[in-house]
Amino acid sequence: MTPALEVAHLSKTFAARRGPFGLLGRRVVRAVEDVSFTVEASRTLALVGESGCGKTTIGRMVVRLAIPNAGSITVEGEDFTRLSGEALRRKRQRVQMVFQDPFACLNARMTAEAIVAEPLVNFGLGDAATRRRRVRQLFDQVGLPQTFLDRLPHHMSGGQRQRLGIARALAAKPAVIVADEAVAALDVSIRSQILNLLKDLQRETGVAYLFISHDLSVVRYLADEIAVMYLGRIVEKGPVRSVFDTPAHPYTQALIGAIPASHPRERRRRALLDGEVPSAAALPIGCPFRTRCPLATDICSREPPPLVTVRHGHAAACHHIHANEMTTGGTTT
Amino acid sequence: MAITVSSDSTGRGLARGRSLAARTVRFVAHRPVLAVSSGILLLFVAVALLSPWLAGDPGTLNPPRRLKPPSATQWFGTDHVGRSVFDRTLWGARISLGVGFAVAITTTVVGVLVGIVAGYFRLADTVIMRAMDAVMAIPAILLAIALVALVGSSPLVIVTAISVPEIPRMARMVRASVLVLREQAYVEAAITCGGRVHSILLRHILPGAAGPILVQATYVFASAMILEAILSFLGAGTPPNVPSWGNMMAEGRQYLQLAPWILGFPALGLALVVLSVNLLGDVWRDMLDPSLAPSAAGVTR
Amino acid sequence: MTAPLLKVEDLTISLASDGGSLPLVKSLSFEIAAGETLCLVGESGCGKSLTALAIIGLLNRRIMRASGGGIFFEGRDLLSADAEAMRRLRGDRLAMVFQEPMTSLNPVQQVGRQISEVIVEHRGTSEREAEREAVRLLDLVRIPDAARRARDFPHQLSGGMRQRVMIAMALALRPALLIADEPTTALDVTIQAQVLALMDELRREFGTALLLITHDLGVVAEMADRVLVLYAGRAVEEAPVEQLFDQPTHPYTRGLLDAIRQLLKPDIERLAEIPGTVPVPAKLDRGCSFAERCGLAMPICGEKRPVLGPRGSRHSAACWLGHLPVEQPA
Repeated sequence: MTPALEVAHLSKTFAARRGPFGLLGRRVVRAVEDVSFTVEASRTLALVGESGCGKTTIGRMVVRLAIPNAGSITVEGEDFTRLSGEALRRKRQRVQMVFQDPFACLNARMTAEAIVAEPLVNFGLGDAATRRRRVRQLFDQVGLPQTFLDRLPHHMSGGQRQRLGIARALAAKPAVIVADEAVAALDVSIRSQILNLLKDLQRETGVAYLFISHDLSVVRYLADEIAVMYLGRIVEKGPVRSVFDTPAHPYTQALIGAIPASHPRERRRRALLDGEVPSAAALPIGCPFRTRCPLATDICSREPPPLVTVRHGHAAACHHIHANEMTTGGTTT
Repeated sequence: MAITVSSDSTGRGLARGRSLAARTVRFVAHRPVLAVSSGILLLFVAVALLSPWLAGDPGTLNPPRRLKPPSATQWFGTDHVGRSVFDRTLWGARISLGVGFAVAITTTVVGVLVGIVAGYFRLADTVIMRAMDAVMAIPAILLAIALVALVGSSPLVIVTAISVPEIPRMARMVRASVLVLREQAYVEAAITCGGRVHSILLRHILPGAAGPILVQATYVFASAMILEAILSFLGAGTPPNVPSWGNMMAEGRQYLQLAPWILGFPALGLALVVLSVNLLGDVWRDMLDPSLAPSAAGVTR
Repeated sequence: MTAPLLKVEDLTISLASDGGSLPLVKSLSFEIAAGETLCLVGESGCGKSLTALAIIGLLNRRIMRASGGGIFFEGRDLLSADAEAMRRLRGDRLAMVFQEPMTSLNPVQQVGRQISEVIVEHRGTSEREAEREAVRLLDLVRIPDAARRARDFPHQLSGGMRQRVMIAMALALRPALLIADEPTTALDVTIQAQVLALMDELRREFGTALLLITHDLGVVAEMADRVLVLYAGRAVEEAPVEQLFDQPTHPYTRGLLDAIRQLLKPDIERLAEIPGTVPVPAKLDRGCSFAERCGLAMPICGEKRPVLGPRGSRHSAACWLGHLPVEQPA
C-alpha cells in the first residue's frame, strides 16, 4: 500500500543577505537538512524539537506554503513538489493543515459556515445543497453546535475556534493533515478535548497526521511514531513507546527530562542541559548537538553522525549511542 | 491574556430598543467629531449637487454694482466685474469637490490595483515599485503646468495631473498592507484550502486592507482639492470662464484690501471641506484600528 | 506567626464599560509570607494576570478598577497608594517579570545600561559602580561572558537570555517580592527548565518571596510552596503544594491534574475531559461558576455559590461536595 505521505531527503536553505544591499555576500541558513520519513494512513508521526529546529518549515513544505530546495514530498504516490498551477491547487485537497493560532487562522469577516465550506467550494465538491449538508455533518463531527453556523470567529472561544479549524481541514476529506502546534495555544482543560477529538477523527476517517509540537508530553498520547529534530536534522526517530522508554540520543533524553514534574515530590531542581541552541546560520562542524552535549568527544567535532538503527524501527544519530545506552539504560516515566 | 466581552453582557446592547432619534443623539454625543465633520461634508456635497437650482448664473456681469460688500440681496457681495460671489462660490464647490472625488476615486482604483499586484506577486514587485518611485519624483504642479501647456486646460487634464503623483503613495500603502496580510495565517489557510488567486485577493486580502485604503483616500481627497486650488490660483488649473475656488481666490487676491470677501468666501469653503475630510479620515483611522479599541487596549497585555 | 509580606483582602477588579462595571476578579483573598513561593494557577481569563497587575499598580486605570479590602504589602495598603509612591516601590521592594521579555525591555538601549539605570535611580550609586553591579547580576543569572553581553541590545539576545536579563533587572535591588507572570511560557522546554531552576535558586539565595502566575501545573509542581487555583475570577482551592497534588478536592483542580498526569502515562486510550468552556464574564453569577462543566454537580451548585471552606490544615476549597467525603480517583 502506498503511504499517505512520504518525505525523502528534504532540504531547505534560506539565503540571508549580509551588509547594506547584500554587499557582504550571502549567508546560507540551513533550516532543514536531508530529512526523510513516512506516514501511513491512520497513523500519526510527531515532529518534535525546540524553536528553530526546522519542524515548522517541514510542515509548511508539506502543505506547499514553502518550496524545498531538494528532496521529494510524495502524497499518495504523487510527487507534490513537482506540481504547479492548477494541478498543484487540485492536489492541495489531499493535504490540509490545522494551524497553531485558532484566532489568526480564521478570516474574522467570515461566518463559521462559510469558513468550513470554503475548501468544498474551492475544490468543487458537491452542489450548494450537498455542501450545506456536509458542513452540518462536519459541525457534528467536531462537536460544534449547529447554532454556531452563522457565528463570527470572535464570538467563539479558543477551543471552539480550533474545532472550526479542524472542521475546515477535514472538509475536503484529505489523506494527510499537518497539525502545527495545534494545541499549544489552548488552555489545559480544552487541550484534552482537542487531543481526544483528533484521535477520534483519525479513527473515523483514516487520515494521517503529521503532528508538529514542541511539547513532548502532548505527543505521547497522540503519536504512533516520533521524530526528534535538532538544528534542521532528525536526531532520533522511532515508535513512541521505544523513544520514550529508551531514548538513545542525549538530546532526546534531555527533552524528556525537561518535561516538568507531574508531582512536587519528583522535582528536579536542576536543568539537564546547559547552553542554548546555536544559530542555524553558524552550524557547528560535525555533530550539531556537540556544543551542548555531555558526551561530546573528538569524533563529534569531526564527523556528523549518521542515523543508525538501534533496535527495530528506532534510529538515532549519535556517535556514542551504545556507550550512552549502557550507562543510562533509559529513563523512567 | 485576552478577555472578550460580548456586547450583551456589558450593557452596550441596551441601546437596541431605543428610538431612532434617541440613538442618533447618543451617537452624536459619543462621536461628536465624526458627526460634525460628516455633517459639514454632506452639506457641501448637497450644495455642489444643487448649485444649478440654488444659485444663479455665475457668469452674469453687472459692472455698475461691482465690489459691493455682502448685503441682504448679495449675501457674499460682488466681485470686480459685479458677479455674485455667492453664485460663484456655490458653482465653485462643484469643481473643487468634483476634482476631489475624481482624484480620490482614480487614485484608489489604480493605486489598489498596482499595490496588490506588487504586494502579492513577488516577481512584479521590484519593477513596479521602481517605476512608482520614478513617478513619485514628479512634482504635481510642474506636471500640471506642462500638461496644460501641451494640451490645454480641462477637468480631465487637472484630474490626471493631480492623480498621477498621488497614485504611488496609495500603491505603496496597499503593497505594504498586502505584504503583511499575505503572511497572515488565515490567508495561508485559504491557500491550503485550494483558493484561487482572485478569490484569495478579493475575499481575504482586500477586505483586510480596506480600512487603511479608505483613510488614505480621504487624505488624497483633501490634498487634491488644495492642489486644484493652487493650480487654478497659478492659472494652470480650471479655465477662467468656469468658476472654481482656486481661480476665484486668484482674482480676489488683487482686491484683497478693497474687497476681502471675494477671496474670503471660497477660501473659507475650501478650509471647511478640507478640515472636515481630514477629521473624518482621522476618526475612521481610529475606529478601524483594532489596537486603539478601548476594550482591547487595557485587558490584553 | 509574623505578619505576612503581602496580604490581599477581598480584592475585586472590574472592567468599566458603558453600561456599568463587569467584575473579572471577585473577592479574592490570599497571603504570601516572606521567602515563600505562591503559585496562582488558572486558565486564560481566570483573572490571574489582572491580580498581578493590581498588586504592582499597573492596571489600566482608564478601564479597570480595583476595589475591596486592600492589598497590604509590608503593612501598607497599595490600593490607596499614589502613583509616585508605587513608582518608588516598584523595582525596589516589589518587582515583576513578564511573559514576553522583548516587550518589557527598551529595544534601543544596551541591556547592561538598563539594569544599571534602575540601580542608579533607586540607590543613587555612581554610574561606574552600578555598571559593575549590572555585570555581576548578569553573571549571576548565568549569562556567559556577562561583561561583553552587557553591551548587547535586546534583539541580539535569545528569548531565554532576555528572560534572564529581566530576572537580573528584577532582582537588582533585592526586592522582597517578585511577581512572575508566565515567565517561561514563551521559552523552549530545555530553556524553561534552566530558567525555573535559576529563579528557584536565586529566590533561596536572596530570601525573596515569589508570586508565580502560570497555567502549567508542571511548573507548579516544580516551584510552588503553596498553590491557589483560580476559576472564572474566583479562588476555588488553596493548599500546600504536596497536599494539592495528593488530595485535590475541587473537581476543577482534579480535572486539571488529570489532564497533565494522563498525558505522560503510556497507552492511555482516551483522556479524561473537562467538558465545555470557561464561562464568559457576566454581571450576575448565581451558584458555582464551574457547575455547568462539573461532572459531580448537584442541584444546590446551580443555585448557591459555595464559599472557601477548610479541607484540612491550610487547605481550603470552594465546593459543595466538600462536606461529604469524596473517594479519590485511582
